[in-house]
Amino acid sequence: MRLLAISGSLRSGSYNSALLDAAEAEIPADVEFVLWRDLAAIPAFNEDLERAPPPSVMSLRREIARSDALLIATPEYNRSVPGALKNALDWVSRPFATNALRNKPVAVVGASQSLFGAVWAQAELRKILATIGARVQDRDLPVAQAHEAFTEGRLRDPRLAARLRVIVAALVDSAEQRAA
Amino acid sequence: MATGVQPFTGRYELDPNHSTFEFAVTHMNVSTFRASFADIDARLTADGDTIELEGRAIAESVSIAEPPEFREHVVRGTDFFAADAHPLITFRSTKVELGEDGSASVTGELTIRGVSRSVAARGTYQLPTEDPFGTYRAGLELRTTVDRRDWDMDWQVPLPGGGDALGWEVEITAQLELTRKD
Repeated sequence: MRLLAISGSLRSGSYNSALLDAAEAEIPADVEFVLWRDLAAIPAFNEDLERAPPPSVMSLRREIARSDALLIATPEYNRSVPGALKNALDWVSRPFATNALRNKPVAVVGASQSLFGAVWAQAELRKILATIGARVQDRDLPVAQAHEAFTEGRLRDPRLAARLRVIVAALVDSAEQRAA
Repeated sequence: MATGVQPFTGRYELDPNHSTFEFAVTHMNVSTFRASFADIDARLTADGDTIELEGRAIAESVSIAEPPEFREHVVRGTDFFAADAHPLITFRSTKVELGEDGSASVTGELTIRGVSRSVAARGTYQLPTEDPFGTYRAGLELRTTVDRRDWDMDWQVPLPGGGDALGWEVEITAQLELTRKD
C-alpha cells in the first residue's frame, strides 16, 4: 500500500505540510507514505505542450499512478484552491479517459490561520477531484488557526487528531477494497 | 433601508460568552424546538466603506445532549449535521449594510455539512460603546429563515393527523457581542 501526499502550499514551514506530517504519524506501519514535493516545478497548463508533456508533469502522473491512494492538504487562497495545485490537477486530468486520478481514492484536508481551516478550499478541491474522476472521501478536516494547531509534529486538538485518523483509515480501507 | 457612511471602523472579535447562535424549528406541529451552539467565534472587519462578517460554530457543540440516541442522530447522523465528516458550520458575508436607523442587512454564504447556500439576514446593530473596563463593544443581532432541505437535511416523518414531525423552515438567529481589537 502506497499513499501519496501532496501539499498545496509551496511555503517552507507550511501548515499544510505540517498537517501531512501529522497524517504520516497516524498511518499504519504497512502503508508507505510518500510526500510529493515538486509542485513548484509544474509549469502552467498549455494544451500545446500536451504531445510532449514537461518531465515534471510526467513524473507527477507516474507518482499518482503507482500510488494506491492520495492525501491532499490544501491552503485557502481567496476562498478557493491555490492556483498551483489546481494547475497540477489540470495537467493530471488529461487525457480524461485514462488519467491517473480516475477511480483513485483521495481524501482532502486543509489548514489555515483563519477561523475556518480552509473549509471552502477543501470543498472546491473535492469538487475538482470528483470531476476528474477520483473517488473522493466526503469529509472535511478544517484545521483552523493553524499557527497554534500543532505540537511536536501532531495536531494539538485531540478531536482533530481523531478525525485525521478516521480520514487516513478510510483512505487506506478504500484503497484496499479497490485492490481486492 | 437607509444607508449612509458605515459607522464601524476597525477589527472586532466575538465575545462568545455574551453571544448566542441558535436555531428554532417546529416540532410535531405543536411546539418550537430551540437549540444553540456553545462553541462559536466570529470576526467583523470594517475597512472604509466595506464591512465583512465571518463566523463559525462547531457542530458538535450544539445544545442537544440527551438522550444519547437523539444527539447521535442530530449531530453525527447524516440526516442532520454529519459532524464527523463536516465539523464546522461557517458563514462568510458577501454584503453587509448598516442603516442610519440602526437596521442591519447581511447577505452571505452559510455552509452546513459541506453544502454552501446564500442566505440573507436582517436585524439591528448597536454602535461601539466603551464598557467599564475600557473595551469598546458593539452589538449585531441577525435573523433569517431558511429551508433545511437546501442543505440536504431532508429527514421527515408524517404525523398521523397530517402535517410533518419536523418543520422544513428553520429560523436562525445570531446575537453577537463584538469587542474592538484595534
